[in-house]
Amino acid sequence: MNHTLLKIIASSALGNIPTGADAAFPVWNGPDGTIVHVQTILYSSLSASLLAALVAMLGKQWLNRYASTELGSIIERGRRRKRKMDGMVTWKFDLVMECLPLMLQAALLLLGYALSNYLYVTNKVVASVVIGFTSFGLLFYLLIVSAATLSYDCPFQTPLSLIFRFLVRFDNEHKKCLRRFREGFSRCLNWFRRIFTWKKNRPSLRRPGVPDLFDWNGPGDGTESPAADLPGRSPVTLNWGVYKSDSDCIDWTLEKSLDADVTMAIARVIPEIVWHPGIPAAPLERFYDVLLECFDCSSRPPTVKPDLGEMAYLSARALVDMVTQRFAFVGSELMRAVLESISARHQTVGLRDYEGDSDLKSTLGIFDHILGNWESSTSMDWQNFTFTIPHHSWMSSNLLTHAIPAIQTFDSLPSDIRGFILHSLRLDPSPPAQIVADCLFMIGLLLDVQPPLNALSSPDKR
Amino acid sequence: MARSLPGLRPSVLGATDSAHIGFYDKFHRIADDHDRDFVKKYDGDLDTTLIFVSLLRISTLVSFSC
Repeated sequence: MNHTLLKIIASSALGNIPTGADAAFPVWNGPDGTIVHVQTILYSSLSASLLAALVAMLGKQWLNRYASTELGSIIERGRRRKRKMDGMVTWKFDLVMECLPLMLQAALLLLGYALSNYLYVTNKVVASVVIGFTSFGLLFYLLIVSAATLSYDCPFQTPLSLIFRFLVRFDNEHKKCLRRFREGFSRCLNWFRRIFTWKKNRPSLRRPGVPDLFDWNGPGDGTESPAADLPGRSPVTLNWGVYKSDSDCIDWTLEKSLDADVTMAIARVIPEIVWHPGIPAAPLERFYDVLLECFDCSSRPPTVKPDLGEMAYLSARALVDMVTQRFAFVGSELMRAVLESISARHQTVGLRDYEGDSDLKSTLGIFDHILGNWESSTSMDWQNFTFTIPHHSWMSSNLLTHAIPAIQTFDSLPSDIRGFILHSLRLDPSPPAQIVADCLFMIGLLLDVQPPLNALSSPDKR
Repeated sequence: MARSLPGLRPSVLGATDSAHIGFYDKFHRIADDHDRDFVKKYDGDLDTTLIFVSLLRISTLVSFSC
């Protein structure tokens, strides 16, 4: 009764006048339900494989773009190239490419399922073959995925097992991500708050003051100049992004190559780069090993092997430069640990006279002093040195970088820096003006005269 | 004061680019090797993927027709 009533209501809703009990009710005359089901799955399999084809095509384009060379100077191209390489890692290009076969595997599974389903309805004997192969394939796949997830050494790695491993590892990373997000959010909030208060109390400018030496947080995103927010002086344009990408390139190259000429090229470029705290690891140990290789340790004190004098000088200079800059910018704990491990196996190398090579001897002497905390070692024999001009100017700028934290910590200059100043100022003919300017700044520090910050950071200190 | 320290470096050293050029020359050489391997690996993978896709598409179309 109810059913008939329902039919009549349905018919009238469709606009037909009900003449009989089941006269106007539309009857489904399309394909069978199983066919619809099978076709849906087949279409989804087809779409999945087409999607995979699209991603594969895009992937080819991405690779082409990555491999293409750009215009510009060799330096610019190098920096851009490193950024592209980093982008590949940051955006997990590997993972995307590894996930591509996953789509294909899903498409294959859907195809197998659809075929088995269809054939099961049509003919059970034929279906048993397809079902047998599909289930065997599925079982085998599950087996190798679980084996590869449990053991990384298993050679049957699949994208799925890699993802499982990634998810398991994600636990700690996930927490870190969340923390970073929270910090970023609070920074944004603070920023908004500052803008709001700044608009409110516009006339009251911040009190100018000299920032504390060890209270330096480094550049935010690697592009802003840290000096730009000091009030009362024109912002100095230091391109932190450039230093960052240079030092990233150096880190990467050191990791990839052990060649002597590559190491020499790196040692040559290090004094021209600022090792600011944004750079995680200074390759100190590596350069110390290079320096040790240049020495013949069988004799006491160790002496430089023949033909390796330049290598020894360059690596020692790079070491001194990195250590000095690191101490000037951050008194990092990691840095201290690395230095302690180096000084534990260090032998004094700067005492020998290296065939009159003052540059090498003075650099090694300074290195000895850095590892021996300056005051404990024997003092340097500045009077008998004759420096080349590039070495002399490097030495003066390096010692000035060292003098600033030394003054703040010990309230006096180490005797060797005093010796260097006296030696440089007494020279006849006098050294280039930049060296003199550096020495005068060091004397100013000793007399507790605060050097004008803008003069110190300007390219020409005269 | 520490913030102004970086300003000392390149100027004092005369800001010659020769060391940079020497270094980046080496860098490019190593990066070329690295990139060649990198691109070759993924290019091969993508070729395999595309072949597989076409096979799969043919088999799907065959099963449509039955």
